[in-house]
Amino acid sequence: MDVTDSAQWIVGLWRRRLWFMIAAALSIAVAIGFTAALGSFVSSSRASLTSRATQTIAVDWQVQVTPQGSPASVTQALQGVPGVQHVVPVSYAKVDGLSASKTGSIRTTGSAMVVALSSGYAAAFPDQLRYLVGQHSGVLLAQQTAANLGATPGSVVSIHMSNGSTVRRVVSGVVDLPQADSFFQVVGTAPGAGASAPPDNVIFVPPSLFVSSTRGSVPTRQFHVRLNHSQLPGDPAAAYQSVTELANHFALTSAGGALVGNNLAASLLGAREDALYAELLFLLLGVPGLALAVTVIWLVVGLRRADRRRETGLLLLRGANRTTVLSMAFIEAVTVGLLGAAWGVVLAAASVRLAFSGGTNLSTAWTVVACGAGLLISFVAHIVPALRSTTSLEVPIGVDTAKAPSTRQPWFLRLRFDYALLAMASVIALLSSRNNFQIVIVPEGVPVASIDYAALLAPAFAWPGLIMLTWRVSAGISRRRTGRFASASRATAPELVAASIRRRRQVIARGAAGLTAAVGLGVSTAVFTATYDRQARLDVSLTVGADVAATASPGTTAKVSMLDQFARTPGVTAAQPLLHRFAYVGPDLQDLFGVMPRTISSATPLQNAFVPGSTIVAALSAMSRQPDGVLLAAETVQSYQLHRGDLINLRVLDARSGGYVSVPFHVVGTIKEFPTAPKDSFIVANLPYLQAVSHDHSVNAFLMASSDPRKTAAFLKRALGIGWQVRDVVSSRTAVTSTSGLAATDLSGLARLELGFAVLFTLVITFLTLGLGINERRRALVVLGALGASRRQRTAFLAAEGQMLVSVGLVAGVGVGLTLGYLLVKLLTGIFDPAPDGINVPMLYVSGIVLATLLAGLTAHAGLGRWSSGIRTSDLRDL
Amino acid sequence: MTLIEKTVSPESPPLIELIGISVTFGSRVVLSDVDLFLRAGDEIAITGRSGSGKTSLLLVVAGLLAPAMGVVRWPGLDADCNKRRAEIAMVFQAPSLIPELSALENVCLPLRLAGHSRDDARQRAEDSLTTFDLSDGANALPAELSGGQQQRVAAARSIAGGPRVILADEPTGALNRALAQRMIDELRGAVRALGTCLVIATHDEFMAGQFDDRYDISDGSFKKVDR
Repeated sequence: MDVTDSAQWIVGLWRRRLWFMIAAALSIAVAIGFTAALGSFVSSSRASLTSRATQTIAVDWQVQVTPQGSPASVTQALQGVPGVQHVVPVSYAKVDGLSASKTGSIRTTGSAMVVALSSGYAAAFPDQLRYLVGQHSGVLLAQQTAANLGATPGSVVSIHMSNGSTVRRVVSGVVDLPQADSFFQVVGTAPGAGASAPPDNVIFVPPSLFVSSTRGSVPTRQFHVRLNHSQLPGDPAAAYQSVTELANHFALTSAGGALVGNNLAASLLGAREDALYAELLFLLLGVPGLALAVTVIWLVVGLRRADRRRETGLLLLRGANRTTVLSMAFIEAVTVGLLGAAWGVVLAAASVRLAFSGGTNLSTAWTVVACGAGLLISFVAHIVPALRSTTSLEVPIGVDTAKAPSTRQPWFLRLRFDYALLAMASVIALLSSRNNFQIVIVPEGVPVASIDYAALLAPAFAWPGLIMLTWRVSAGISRRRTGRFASASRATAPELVAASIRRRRQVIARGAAGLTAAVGLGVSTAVFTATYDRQARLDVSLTVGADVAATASPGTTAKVSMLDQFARTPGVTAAQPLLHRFAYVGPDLQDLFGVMPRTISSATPLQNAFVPGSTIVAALSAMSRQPDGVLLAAETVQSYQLHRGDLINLRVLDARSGGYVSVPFHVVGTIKEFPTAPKDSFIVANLPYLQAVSHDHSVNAFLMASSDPRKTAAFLKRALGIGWQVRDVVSSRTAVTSTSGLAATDLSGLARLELGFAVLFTLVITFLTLGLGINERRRALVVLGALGASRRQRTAFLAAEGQMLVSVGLVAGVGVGLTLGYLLVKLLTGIFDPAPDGINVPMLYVSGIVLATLLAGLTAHAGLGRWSSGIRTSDLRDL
Repeated sequence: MTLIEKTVSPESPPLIELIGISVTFGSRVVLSDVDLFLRAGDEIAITGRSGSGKTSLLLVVAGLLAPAMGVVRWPGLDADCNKRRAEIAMVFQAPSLIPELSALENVCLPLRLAGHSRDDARQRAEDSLTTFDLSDGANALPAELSGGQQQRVAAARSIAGGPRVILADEPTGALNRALAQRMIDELRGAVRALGTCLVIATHDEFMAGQFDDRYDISDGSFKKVDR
């Protein structure tokens, strides 16, 4: 076969099989586009994990001067560390306590920490301090300390020093310390292990006042260091290694004069989990999509199988040898593959642009891999059938017109593979559930993390198992069709239509299984994404408090009577007051929240997961029945050996006396999470009871459910002015990090890609399976025409098969999607914070994909009708 | 060989009239100025080389191909074209059976499409298959029958509805001489019993020689062959 022959062959193919060639190239383009876009996401998310992990760190290193070292030598050593951007000294000293007088009474705290911060600290580490009220320099009080002392800017606070003397300082402002745990960490332990509960009372003073404020105390000297992050490797594990080695090198240089609190390494250690979740997302969401993409190519190329067999037969009869036949298949594969690759690259670029944010670019490596794989699949799909034709002893000149498709079950159903796979998937899921689906294993303090790949076998088995089961069920339904109960007029011969469906049941089941896979992929991804979205919103709500939260700043008085005013704010559907105090449980100072238990859930999302062993409704009901009832943290209940119904005495700040007084409460249950509450121990009580016993009728915040949080927040900011801090979930979403930084940032892009391609796959498979069916039955259509069947009768005879295929595929697809969506949510529990109560079914997307499939089915049906309308003379001649 | 005497007078009014028919494909003239009158009980053979226009002529008779010139009338058939289609049965060179339907179901199919009840269609189909000695294979799928049996099922299907006209396009083209003769005998026997008009297009001179009326198509011209 020379060049001229090849060219003639190609030109002939494109002229005579134009639509088939375009369909084949498009199917390859879809597969390449999906693979390249997905691969680009994976490589991009891996590369950006380090930068996202480092963005959350306020201070990279907290270098503490040891008794053997001196601040001067440590400063000198730090100057020699490559990549150091800022070095600011910070001093800590513990004092006996603080006190302040308010309305004639004196409030005194327990031991307190005095911290010296230089004026340039905030500029070097902007995320460390949040200024709430007053000036940004001078003597600053931590928010909780200000609340304990009832101090505001301008108040005078006395520092009771360890040598017994007292010094008075005028408060300039009140600040919040978002990363207090690491700020007050014990330096010198393994990365991440030094974080400890911050002191209850903190006062910041300028360095010039530090010595005179801490007489008698031994100060701790630290240098807070900012490193250049741009040089760090993209992979968090490699970045961790690099940062740790740098710290070790510094420690060696300082010759024991300094210890490093490596916050950066601790954060990168946590980001390894994200890297593994990225891998999991690729495996759980991407691999089924890739399998589907390959199936689509196979289906399309299979459309020409009968033609190809006939062409091969004719060529062999006319003296062509095997090499010629294979060369022709090769040329066809190259033409279709190259065109598909070109379109695929365009599709991938467009997908990346549409699905992901600006940070993700099309990966060259993945594009090359995807194009190579697409070409390879094209070769295999074209050449294998050609090879089979040439090795067959039969020479298939004509299509085997009288042969009905086999009704025999495929081998995997005869061997009961579906049952076996589903049984294995169930067992593995059960075993994983015992481990609470902890499939990402990240040991603390060890730079090695891993995935429990065995747990992934559950979806890996469930996917094919459910698709095979759909095949079995679909064939079973078709086998039982008799047409006896068909309501169609007798002129459409329902019993003959049923007989045809019975004998074509394996073909119909194959199509239904393909459609099930496509719909299942879309629905499962949508379920996972919707559940994640709901939990992410809940996560932000937990931090913010509700859709919108208005918090009174120190010095501003808020009363329950203002509730109506908040409830009438535009967009607000419900509003609730929230009281925030502190109470001593034994020696521990804990956050104490006062709520209206009957109505609190109307304004803020509460989940059963918040109250282990109970439901949120039951827990709140118990509180409303018991005015002095409290919900305590599980660890508090355990530490103090408390039980439900026990009487406990908590020390609560009394506004009348200015001191902490003992107040009786009854334990009604345990609580794990609550809006605005910290991660550690806290208490939830009845608001009216708390107000009565503390003789303080003010509240701290109002939580609101809103149909338009951003609009409500904007309105409130204007209406309330200074003195109130207003936050909403929408604006805060980007600022709040969830357990997995990966999910918070990238999942929406991945979901957009998956959901978009799932719809594309569904449409393609619907068209293909129906088109394949119509193509296979082209001759039957002509025979029916020759027998005198009207257009309606011809269409009805063949359309019944498509209706069966689409209805089974859709129902099973939605069912499979929901099942696998549930499994995905369970397996990726670690990505959710908090863990969801159940799955969230996005009705809009599910309806959309069902509608798109029906629309594709109707279009194919219309095409069939149109085709049926004109039986060509040439078709009749071919009979 | 089964012999059944013709029961219809040659003077009966025509079922179908073709007057001055011409068929062209692009610039090629396939048929030119063809006149043909088909009556009940006529048995006509049309001969000609491959591609001479035999199939085109049958399609024009069936109303499936519009001629470039001339008039086709069906005075002896139903005026409604859908009902008329049921009165004209066709048999093709290949058996043209629906592969997923059994022999009996294939024969039932045109009857059911024409509006016969399920039971009536079944009874007629069984009778028709019996005429062609195919009762034993009634429930077999086409692939389970031999080529000759498949073609006889197609013939049985053509007579099952009691058509007024049967148009057979090379019905024995894929069969050996013995099988071809058997099928033609059975078909002629059946159409004679029904008084149906039978038109066969064939390139087999021997087969054509068995028919009283024989026409030949050559280079577009349509001529009666004198015996």
